[in-house]
Amino acid sequence: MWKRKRGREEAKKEKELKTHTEQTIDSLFNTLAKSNDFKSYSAGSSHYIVSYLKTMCEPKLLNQSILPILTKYEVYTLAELKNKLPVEATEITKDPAVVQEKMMKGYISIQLRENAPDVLLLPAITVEGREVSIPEVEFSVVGPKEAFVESLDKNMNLMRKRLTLPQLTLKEVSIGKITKTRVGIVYIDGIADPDNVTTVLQRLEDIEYDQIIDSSFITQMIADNSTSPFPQLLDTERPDRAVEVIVEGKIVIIVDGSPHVLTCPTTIVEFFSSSDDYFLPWPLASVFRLIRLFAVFFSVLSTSLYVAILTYHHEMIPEELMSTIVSSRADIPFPPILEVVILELTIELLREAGARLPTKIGQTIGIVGGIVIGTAAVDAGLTSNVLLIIVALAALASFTTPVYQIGNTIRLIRFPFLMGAQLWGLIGVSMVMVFYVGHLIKLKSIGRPFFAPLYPLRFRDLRDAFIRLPFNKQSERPLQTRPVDPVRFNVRRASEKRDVDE
Amino acid sequence: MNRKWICVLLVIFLTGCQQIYSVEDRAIVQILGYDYVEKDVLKGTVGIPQYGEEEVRTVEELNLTVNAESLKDFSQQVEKESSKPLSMGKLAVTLYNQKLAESGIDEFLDVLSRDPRVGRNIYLGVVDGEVQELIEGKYNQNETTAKYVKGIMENNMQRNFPKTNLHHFLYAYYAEGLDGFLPYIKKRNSHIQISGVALFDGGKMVSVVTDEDVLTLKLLLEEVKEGALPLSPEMGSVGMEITDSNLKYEVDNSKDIPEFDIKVKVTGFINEMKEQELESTQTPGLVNDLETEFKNHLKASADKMIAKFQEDQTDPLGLGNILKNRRRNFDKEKWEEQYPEVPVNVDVEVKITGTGISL
Repeated sequence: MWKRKRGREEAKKEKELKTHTEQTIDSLFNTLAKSNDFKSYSAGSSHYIVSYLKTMCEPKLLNQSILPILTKYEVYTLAELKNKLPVEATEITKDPAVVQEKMMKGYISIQLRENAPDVLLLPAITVEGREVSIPEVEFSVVGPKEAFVESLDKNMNLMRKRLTLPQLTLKEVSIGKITKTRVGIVYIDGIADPDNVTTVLQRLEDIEYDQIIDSSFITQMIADNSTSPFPQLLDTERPDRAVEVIVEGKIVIIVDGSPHVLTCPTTIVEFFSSSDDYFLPWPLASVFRLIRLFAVFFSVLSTSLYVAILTYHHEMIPEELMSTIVSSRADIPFPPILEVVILELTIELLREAGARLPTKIGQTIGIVGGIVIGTAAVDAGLTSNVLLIIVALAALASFTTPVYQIGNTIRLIRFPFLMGAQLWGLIGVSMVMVFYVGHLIKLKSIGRPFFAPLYPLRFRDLRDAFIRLPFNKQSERPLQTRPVDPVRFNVRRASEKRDVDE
Repeated sequence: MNRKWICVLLVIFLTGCQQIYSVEDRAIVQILGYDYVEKDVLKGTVGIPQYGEEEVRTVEELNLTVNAESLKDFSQQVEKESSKPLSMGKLAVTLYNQKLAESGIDEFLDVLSRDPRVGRNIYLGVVDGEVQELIEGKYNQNETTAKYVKGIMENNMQRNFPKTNLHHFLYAYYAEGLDGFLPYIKKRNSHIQISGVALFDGGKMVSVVTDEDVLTLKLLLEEVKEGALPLSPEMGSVGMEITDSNLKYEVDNSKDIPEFDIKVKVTGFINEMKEQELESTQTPGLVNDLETEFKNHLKASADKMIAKFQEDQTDPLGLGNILKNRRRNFDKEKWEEQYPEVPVNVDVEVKITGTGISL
C-alpha cells in the first residue's frame, strides 16, 4: 500500500519536472521567482522587463553595456534593440525551452513588456572555476605541468592549443535527467575509427541516470563489464597525455565539471605506462616500465606467497632464510594468514585515513602509522618483522602505478590471492591467477580487447607495451584503435642518417 | 546450478577441516643418520634445528636417537619423542654407519627415493665410526651439524672429491654396469673430516678410496675445473693446481672381451715448489720433467685403483654402462664374470701452462 503511494508521489514529482520543461515563458519566470537570486525588473525609458539569475551573470556587462543602451534609446521591437546592443551572440526566441536552457546558463532576458511572447537573450555568463594548475595525481618531474580543470571549455582549450588541427572534432551530448551535464567526445576525424566513435556516442546517449557529477560516473556506466574490478576506460588529468592518445586514434570523453578526461579504447598495459616514459630516453623508460610491472606483480603476489609457503611449502624456504623466518615467527600466536590479514588491514586503514585527511595531517598519519604501529606490532609479538617488510614493500609497490584507478584494483585483487593461498597453498594462488587471466582475456574496452597486445597477440603493439622502443621505430598507430590512417610518419625518412650537411 | 554451488562451497569450507602446521610448528629434520646395532635392529639419530629468539638468533640442534627394528618403525619411534610433527622436506644430509653400509642400504634408498618431499640434491655419506656420536657432537663452528656436514661435502666436491648426491647415487644404483660411491667421513676430535670415497656394489659398500687417490678418481669421472695435486718426487715436493681436464672413454668392442682406453688430459700450473737438489734457475726442460713425473704418478695411481675396482667387483667408472651402450646383446652376468679380467688402459697427458711469477 505504501509502495503504491510512493509510486504515485514519484509520478507526481516527475510530472512536475516534466511540466517545467513544457512550460510557457511566464510560468518559467514564476518558477524562477521562487529563488532569491532571480532578478526581474523594468528598466530603461521604455520599461523593458530585464530578468536574469544574479549568481550566473556578469554585473559589469549588464551595467556598462546593456542598461545604458536601454535608457538611451527608445525602441519598439526587439530586433531593433538587438542591433543597438553591443553584445555578440544575441538571440530572439519564442521557445520557452530555449529560454530556460540559456537563462540557467547565465543569459539575460529582455522583454518589451511583461508576459510578451518574444524574448531577447543576451549572453552574460560568468562561471566560477579553478585556474589551470599543476597535475597532482599524475605528477611528472619533466614535461608539461598543466592539468585539466572542472570546465569542459577550458579543457577543450587546453587540448586544442596542443593540437591545432581542423579535423579535431568535439561532439557534445548532454546527459543526466536533472543535471543535464555537458559531455563531449573528442577525436580526430580521419584517424579515429568511426565504429569506435559511434559506439561511444551510442553508449553515452543510452545512459539513463539523473545526475553526472564526475567522469568516473561515465566510466562505470559505459564500461563493457561493470562488475569487473579493472577500469575499462583510462582516466587522465594531463592534457598532453590526452592529446597523445587522440593522435594515436583513440577517443577522449570530457565531462563538464570533472578534471579528469577518459580515453578509450584502452588496454591493460596502458595503465602501467606513465607520461614520464616518453620524456626519458627509451632504454631508461623501458627499464623503468619493467620495474613498475615487477612492482605490480610483487604487490599482488608477495603476501599470498608468504602465506602459501609458510603454511604449506616450507621446503621452498632457503636454508639461510629459515632461521630468520622461524625465529621472527617463533612467538607469534597467529597462523600466517591472520598475521597477514591484520597487517594488510592496518595498511589499508592508514591509506583510507591518509586519503580522507588534509595533506599535512595525512602525512603525519602516514608516519605515525607506518613507524609507530609497525614497530609496536612487531614488539608486541602480533606480527613478524619479515612480514612487516613484505607488506610495507607491497604497499609501496602498489603506488608505483601511474594511474590511480588501477592502484585501487591492485589493492583489492590481492585479497582473493590471499584466500587462495590459505586454502590450497601455491595451487590456490595459481587457481586465482588463472581466474584473473581468464577474466582479463574476456574483458573489453568499448568492444576492443582489453588484454590486447598479449591476447590477441599483436606484435606491432608490443613496441610500446612492456618496453618502449625509440620514436623512429613507432611508425604506426596501435592496432588496438583500428585507425583509419595507420601510418604515423615515413619510416625511411625518419631513419635516414643526417650526419653530413650537403 | 544449485548443486554446482554447493560443491564449490563444500570444497572451500572442507579445507578448514585440514590440520595446518606452519613452519615454526614443525620439527624440521635436517640431518638423519643410522647406526648398526645388531641384525634387524638399527639405531637412528635425527638432528632438528632449534631456532633461538629474535636478537640472539642462535641455532641449536635437538637430537633424538631411538632404536628400531625397521625404518617405518623408526619414524614412529622418533615421532613419539617429538613435540612437533616431523617434516622431512628440508633434509640435507643422510649418513650411514660403515657397518650398516656394508650390510646394504637398499631399504633406506627406497624410502628416500619414494618420498616426494625429499629433494634429490641431498647428500648421502658413510661414516667411519658411530653416526650418533658424529651427529650429536658439538663443533666449533657456530652452526648446526647438518649445515657443517653439508658444507664440508659441498666445498670438497667443488675441488678434489667427485660429485655425488642422492640423484647421482640413485642413477648409478639403478643403472646396469655402474656402481655408486659416497663420501667417507669421520669425526676427528672436534672436527669432521672427509677422508675418502666409499665404493658400493649395488647397495653394499665394498671398499674405500683413500684421500691420496681421490683426485685420480675424480679425473677419471668428470671434468675437473679446480683441484690440487701434490707430488713428492725425488727432486722435491711440487704442488700443481689443476685448471682444466678432459676425459675420453673408448671401447674396443670387436673382441669378445672388450678393451677400454681412457684418455685423460690435465692442464694446470705449478703453485708450490720446494727444491731440494734442484738448481734455483728453472728451465723449460724442468717443466717437461715435471709433466712426465705427474703423468707417471697419475697413471700409476689410476692403474692401481682400477685393478682394485676389478678385484672388488665394483664399477664406479661405469665401464659396464659404456659397454652396454655400444654392444647389442649386452649380457649383464657375462659382463660381471668378465669384469675382473677386462684390460683397461689409462693414458694421461699433463700440460703445465704456468709456473708462477717467481720463476
